[in-house]
Amino acid sequence: MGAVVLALLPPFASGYVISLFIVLYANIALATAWAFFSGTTRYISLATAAFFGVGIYALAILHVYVSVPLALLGAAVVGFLVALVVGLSTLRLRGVYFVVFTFGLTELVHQVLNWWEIKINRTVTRYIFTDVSNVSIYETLLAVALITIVGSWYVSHVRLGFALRAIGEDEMVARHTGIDTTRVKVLCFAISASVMALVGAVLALRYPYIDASIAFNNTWSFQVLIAALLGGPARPWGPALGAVPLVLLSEYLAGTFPHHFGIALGLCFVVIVYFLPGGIAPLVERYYHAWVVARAYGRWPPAAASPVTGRFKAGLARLNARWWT
Amino acid sequence: MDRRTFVKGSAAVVGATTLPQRVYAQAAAPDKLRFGYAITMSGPLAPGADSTTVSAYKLWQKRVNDAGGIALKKYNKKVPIDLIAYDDQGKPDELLKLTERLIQQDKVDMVLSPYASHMNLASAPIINKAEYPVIMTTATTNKTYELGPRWPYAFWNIAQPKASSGALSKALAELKKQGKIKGRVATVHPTVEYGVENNEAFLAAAKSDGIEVVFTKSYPFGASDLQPLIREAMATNPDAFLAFSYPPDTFMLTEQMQIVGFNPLVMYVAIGGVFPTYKGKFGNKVNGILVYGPADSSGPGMDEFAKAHQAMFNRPYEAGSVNVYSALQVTQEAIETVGEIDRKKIRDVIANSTFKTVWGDIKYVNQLNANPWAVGQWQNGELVCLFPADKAGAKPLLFPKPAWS
Amino acid sequence: MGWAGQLGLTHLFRAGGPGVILFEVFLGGLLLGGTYGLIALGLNLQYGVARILNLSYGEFFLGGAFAAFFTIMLWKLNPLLSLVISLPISFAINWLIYQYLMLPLIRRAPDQDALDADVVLVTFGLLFVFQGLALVNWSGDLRGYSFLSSPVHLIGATVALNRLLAFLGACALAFALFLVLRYSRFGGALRAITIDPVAASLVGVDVRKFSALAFAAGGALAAASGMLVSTFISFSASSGVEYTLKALIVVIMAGVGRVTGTLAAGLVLGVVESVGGYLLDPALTIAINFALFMLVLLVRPTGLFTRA
Repeated sequence: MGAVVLALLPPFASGYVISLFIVLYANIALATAWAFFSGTTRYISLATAAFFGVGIYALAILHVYVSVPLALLGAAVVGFLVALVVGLSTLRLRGVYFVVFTFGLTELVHQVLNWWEIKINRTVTRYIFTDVSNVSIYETLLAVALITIVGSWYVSHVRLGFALRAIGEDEMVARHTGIDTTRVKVLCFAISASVMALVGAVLALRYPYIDASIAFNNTWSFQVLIAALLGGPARPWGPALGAVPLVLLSEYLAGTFPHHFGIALGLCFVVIVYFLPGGIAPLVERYYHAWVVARAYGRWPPAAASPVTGRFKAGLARLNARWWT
Repeated sequence: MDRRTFVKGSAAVVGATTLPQRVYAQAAAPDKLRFGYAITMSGPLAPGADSTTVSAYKLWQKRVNDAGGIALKKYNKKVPIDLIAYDDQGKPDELLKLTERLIQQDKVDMVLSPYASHMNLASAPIINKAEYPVIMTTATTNKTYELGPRWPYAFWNIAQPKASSGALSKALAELKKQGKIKGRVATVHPTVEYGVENNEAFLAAAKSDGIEVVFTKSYPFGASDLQPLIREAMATNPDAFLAFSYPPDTFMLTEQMQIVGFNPLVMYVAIGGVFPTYKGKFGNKVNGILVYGPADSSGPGMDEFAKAHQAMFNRPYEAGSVNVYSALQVTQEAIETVGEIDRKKIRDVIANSTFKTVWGDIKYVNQLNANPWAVGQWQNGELVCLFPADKAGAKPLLFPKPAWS
Repeated sequence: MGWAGQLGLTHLFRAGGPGVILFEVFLGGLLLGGTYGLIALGLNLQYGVARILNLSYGEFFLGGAFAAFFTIMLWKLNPLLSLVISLPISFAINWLIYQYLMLPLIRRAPDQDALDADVVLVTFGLLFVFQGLALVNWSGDLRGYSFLSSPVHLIGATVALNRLLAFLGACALAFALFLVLRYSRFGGALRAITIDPVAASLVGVDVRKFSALAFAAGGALAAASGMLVSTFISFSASSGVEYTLKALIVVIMAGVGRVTGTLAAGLVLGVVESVGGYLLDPALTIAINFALFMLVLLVRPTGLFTRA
């Protein structure tokens, strides 16, 4: 349905729109992959940029030897393997320690790769010259984004998803109920990472030239985190819901206030957090349910207080409440 | 199915606002010429983008508009310039998207180059595919011979690593021949493309010129303390110390060399050495330091340029912005020669003519500026140009560099 | 070098010899480490006591740096004087941020993780706002000035006076903070809140008020450290994020909430980075920094100095 429309869009849209949507799909795929692990298990990872960069580098190195599709596959595999290693070594970390550790990972890989490239190859840059068109990249990323969302949705309905959520609720309890938390965590971390690497590899097809500082850019980690939190990391389609307004809003602000873009975006964040706690997804869901119920009872549009104002009033009431209680 | 509806809905919204292709009326004279650029306004690479590139763009626009605009002889009138600017935040993906936006959405008449090598190289394919001529004013690479033919609409304005490092190597060889130095050189560079390529180019040139490189090490961009590195270099007793550095390390190296009392007879720093803030921080101690990418303050039109810059921004100009300005002058002259916005013709004019600019004469051979100013030196508190030594306005090398007092 | 002679190490410690260089590198690392600890002190207060992971922390650091820059370059005064303006302003703004932006989030968050998520979003937004304001007002240009950049000779090694000053400033602030936390009622309240806010409120500590003060104090410390560091490192309006992350690394490595631990962790980081870079390859200094940080976490997952 909607996916088919999007897939058929390219011939009718300008290169700019295609570029915009490429960035959009990349963000959707990354955010969904991120939430697949971090949203469910509550292990907030800032390593998105690390795996993204690994994907870029894998493509840059592999595309010289094999065809592009194989190189893309290789990138995903490399991302998976790297994440396996990282995952196995970070098992004991929790909470903010895990977060900052994953952030450090991106920087570490960046620095080591730079040093390695200079020592061994006497250059920090790699050139990528492929004939892949923007349209192919568009379609590929659209496919990746859709598969990621569908995959996330599917997993959330089977035992693995249940295990992930159990870990997120209370890891010790989960372990005691017989879930092999180590295997689940590491496996899902690695799956999420391989998607991130794949997205990086696909995007890399557009850059004629990469070096470690381009590939390992922490902004991706933050952007993806924001998109997922904004959209609501608990649903499979939540991050996409966050990524879309984030990208479109950024684009609109960048075009309208190029010099004040940062300020405008920051203000938007602050406003969104206050009026959309929990992200957009729960809100959308609530509206959807209200709509369904109202339709069933023949009462649409609803005349009573909408979910938003009711919640807002409740929030105001709580502003007089005591600390932590 | 609300997820799909949502995505489909937003796609429809975006499609509706962007699909209608505006028809560009060619019949009457345009009342404005639109020049667009996406540049790094925020993020770690933002310093430099403003003082080197953006200020030149704005100054040029003002001066051209004050004179009435660019003369389009096809319509027999002068047309003023509008600048459209976007912030690429230092991210290549943003740059690609924004460049597309400038070309297809805003339909600018000409695109101006972004800032920094990797950004220029990232957007070059798009700009070339759309057949917009662009003069890249902050791009250096060892691969111009390969990339040039790939991107026929792209021109390289500044001294490439081979030119600047080669000039240094030749100068050192000359000093060695005159017996003024033993020919022992220490080099350092940050682990970024610019540093690595310039270092490699220097190593190659030194080998063929008979200069001995006794020490060469790299440091991460953003390092907080370079004193140990300087000590190591000092311990090898070099006559010359070359740093293919970026602004933060240019500043830090200069300061820490003074702390430890490292006084090589020849000292070179790269990017940032021409910044007025560099001189502002170190005062007269900059005398004798060799730098990358100078401009000749006594060049044609430079007096007015300096005055206009000071009047508009209330600060002195940075030599890099002279290079950017010269590219704009080339663009303007090419447009005026063609008489209208015919980008293919403009490109051909740029490729085949010689231009007189504030940065000296510019002629592109195989899209590469034939002999831009590569190396300069601070002498008596002023920036002078040294190499290419046969270019009009070149001054002799001040040797040795006075010791930090 | 009598003792060196007695140990048969004279050849190492001759002037310019490897021993002297190593010692100087070690000393430089110590000073650098003090800088790291200094940068992290304020964030430690903000996250340790007030439980707010403030991503806009580095912007206040920058505020202190810019104030110092303008004080010396524009008004030709000693940059230390800039603290007279930057400390109170940073304190005030951070206090306001806590009261009006953070408290509502704290009240509605069901647990620390959810709070962290909300706080990350909001302070990330604040980061953009402050950075945007800085860029618009002061442009993205690189700033640097010379202040006390003269050599100091210590036991054969040379260090820069401004770095030494920053190091001493770090030690003084850490010590002052330690005294306050250990021996004053205010400090006692802060420590109680760090350990357990609910328990603290049960024993009558006004958690809200003290957290706000701690958060504000953290912001003031950020400005102070910005001023001190700006004497020897150049910066621009976009440098804020870099310092927030540097601070975060040190705070986490030390273990959240330990003040003296923060300085100690910073010192360790600085020394290992400098000496390691000298012994291995200068290009690896930052890599070593992060590798050490990550190694510490792998061995002690809640930080070097936490009791757990």
